[in-house]
Amino acid sequence: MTGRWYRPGDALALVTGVGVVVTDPGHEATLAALFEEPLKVPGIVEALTARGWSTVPDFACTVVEGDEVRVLVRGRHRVEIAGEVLEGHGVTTWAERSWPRAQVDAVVLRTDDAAAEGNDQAVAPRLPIEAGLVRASHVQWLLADVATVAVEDAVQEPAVASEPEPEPEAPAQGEPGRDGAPDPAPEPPPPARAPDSPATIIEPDEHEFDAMFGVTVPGRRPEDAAVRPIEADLEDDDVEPATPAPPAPAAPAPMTPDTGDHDGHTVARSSLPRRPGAAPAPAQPTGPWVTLTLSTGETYDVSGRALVGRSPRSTAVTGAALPQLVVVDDPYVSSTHLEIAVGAATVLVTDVSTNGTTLTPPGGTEGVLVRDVPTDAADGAVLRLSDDLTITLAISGGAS
Amino acid sequence: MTQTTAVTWTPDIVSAGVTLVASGSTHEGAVRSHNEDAWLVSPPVYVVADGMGGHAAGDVASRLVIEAFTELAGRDDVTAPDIERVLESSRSAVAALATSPVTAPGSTVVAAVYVVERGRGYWLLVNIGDSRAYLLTPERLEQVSHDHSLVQEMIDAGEIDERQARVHPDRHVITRAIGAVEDAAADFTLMPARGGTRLLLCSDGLTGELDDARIERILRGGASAAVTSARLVAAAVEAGGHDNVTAIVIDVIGSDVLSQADTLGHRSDPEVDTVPQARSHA
Repeated sequence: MTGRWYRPGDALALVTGVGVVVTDPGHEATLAALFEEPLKVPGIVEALTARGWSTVPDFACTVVEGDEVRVLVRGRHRVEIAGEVLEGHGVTTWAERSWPRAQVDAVVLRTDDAAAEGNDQAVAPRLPIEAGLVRASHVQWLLADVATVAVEDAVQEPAVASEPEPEPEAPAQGEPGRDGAPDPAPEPPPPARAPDSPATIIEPDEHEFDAMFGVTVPGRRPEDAAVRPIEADLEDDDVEPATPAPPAPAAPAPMTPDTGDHDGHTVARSSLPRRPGAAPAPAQPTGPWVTLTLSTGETYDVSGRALVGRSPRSTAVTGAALPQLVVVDDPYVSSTHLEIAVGAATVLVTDVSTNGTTLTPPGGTEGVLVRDVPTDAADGAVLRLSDDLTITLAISGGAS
Repeated sequence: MTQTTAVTWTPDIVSAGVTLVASGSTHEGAVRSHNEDAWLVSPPVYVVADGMGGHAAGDVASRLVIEAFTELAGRDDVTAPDIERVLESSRSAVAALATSPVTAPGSTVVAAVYVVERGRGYWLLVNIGDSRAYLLTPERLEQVSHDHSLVQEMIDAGEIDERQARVHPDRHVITRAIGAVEDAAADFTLMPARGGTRLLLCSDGLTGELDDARIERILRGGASAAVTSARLVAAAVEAGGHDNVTAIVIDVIGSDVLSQADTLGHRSDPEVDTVPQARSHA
C-alpha cells in the first residue's frame, strides 16, 4: 500500500497531485470543475462559495503551496496533520492553518462520524488512489512525492513558469531539520519549462519525468478521471430511450480530425449518436446450458464454451466466439485448467492442466481425465481440479 | 517531439477494487516528418492505431479509428459485440477515405477495454495488424496479441525465426488492416486483469526498434506508467526511430480478491481490509 489511499464512504473526495478536497455529497460538479485546474486554496474557496453562503457545504481541504501545507476545515470534517487534529465544528466560516511542509509527512482527512484511523472495525477497506474523485470516509494523502509546481501547469501558464518557486524537484521523504537550512539550489529549468514551448513537450530526461509524473497523474485530461463516468451515466439515464432506436444504415463517422491533439480528445459518449448494434448482445440462451457450481459457492451458467483456471485466457476471431472465463483463486489450479464445451447433445470437458482433473460421474467412480482429450460429462458429474476445488455440473435445457 | 498523457481511473468502487493508471506517449520518430500513429487513453478504453497510406491520409485513417473507439469511453459495460460494432464503423469511415484502390489508406488497431463482470476485472483485447499488446506479470513479459503480418505468417509456417523476421525486407507488410486490406478480421482476446500486472499497447515503431528483452527491462524499471511510456518511446527513437512510435502503459493496481469478497459477501478474510499493493508507481 502506498501512502495514498481512501476508504469508501459517503463524503466526496477529490484527490490530485498537489492536494485533497473533501465535501459532502451533492457537489460532484464543483469538485469535477476543480479537477480541471491546478488546485489552489483561493480557487477551492471560490468554487465552494460560488452559490452564496447559505449553500457552502461542510468541507476540508489540504493543499501544498510553496513551502506550506495549507489546511481548511468546515463543519463535520476533520484533518489529522503533523500530530494534530484540526476540526471544523463551531466555526462560522472555516478553520484555517498552515504547517511548514517539512513537518508534514501525511495528511488524513475524514468525516467526524467516521471511525478514527487505527480502529479498523466496521470500516471499508483501504483502496489506493493517486488522483480522482471518489466517495470516501477517509483519505490519507502522502506528501513525500509532491512536485510543488507541476511542470504541465508551468507550461500551460507561462505566468507561473516565469516565477519558478525555489523548490527542489523531489523533496526527500520526511527529511527532518530542513527548516533553517537554505533550500538546495533549484535545478536549471529544463527545456520543457520554456514559456514558448507548445503544450507538453517532454524531453526524455528522467528528472523531468519524475517531477512531472511522480504525482501529477491526472495529466492534462482530468475529464477522463473518475469524474466522467458519473456524468456520462447520469446523462445516459436521461437520454437513453427505453426502446432501442430503429436500425439505421451505418454512416461513416463524422470526419473531424483534431489536428492539434490526436489522443482522442474529449468526446463524451452521450454526445455521440449511438449506432444501433449490428450484433446485439446475446439473449438468454435457448439451447442447452450447464450450471457450474463451484465448491466455493459460486455458480456460473455456461451456454457455449467456458475456460476454468486461475488466469484463463482465450483468443478468438469474433467477439461472440470468446468463451466464458471462470476465474478461481487456487494455487494448485493451472492458469487455464479445464475447458467445458456445451453442445446440442453433449457436454464435453477437457483437461488442459498441469496437475490434472478427475471426473466422477453420478453414481460412478472417480477417474482421471486424459489431458487434451474431450470427455463426455453427464448431468450431476463432479470435476475435481484440486484438493480444495470441485465443480458440479447441472445440465439444463435439453442436452441431458 | 514526444507527447505524453497520463490518466488515473478508479472503476466503480464496489464492483472492482482496482485503480487503473495509464499513460500514453507518442513520437513521430527520427525519420518521418509527421505522425500517422494515433492513440486514445480514455478509461476504460485504451487504443493504439498506426495509420498507413503515405500521402493518402494514413494519419486521418488512424484518427478515424480512434474516434470510433471514443464511443466506448466512460462505459463500464462494454461487450465484445460493442467492439465489433466500433470496428465496423471505423472500417466504413476509413473505406470512405479511399479515392482509388491503389492509394487506399488503412490503419492497424490494438485496443484494450477494461470490463467488469461479477466483480472481477478483465481485459477485452482486440487487434488488427501488427500493433501489439504485451502483458507484464511478476514472472514474465508475454505478447498477448498475434501479429497479422507477412513475417508472422512465415514464422508460424516455420520458414523464418523471430530474429530473421526483425531484418526481413517485408517486415512491414501487414496482412490485415482496417480499410486498406480486404481481410480485416480482428483477433479478440479475453483475460483477467490481475492486480500487479502491467499492459503495454504499442505500434510497430516500438517493437521494430526494441526487442522484447529491452522492452521488458524498461517495463520492469519500477517507474510509473507515465515515465515508462515516455521512456519506451524515447528508447525507440534513440535506437533509430525509423517509424512513428506510440506506447500506452496501463497499470492494474489493486486486488481481485477484494472484489470477489464484495460480490460474494461471505468472506471475512482480514486481508480484505488491506488491498495488496502490487506495484509502487510513484
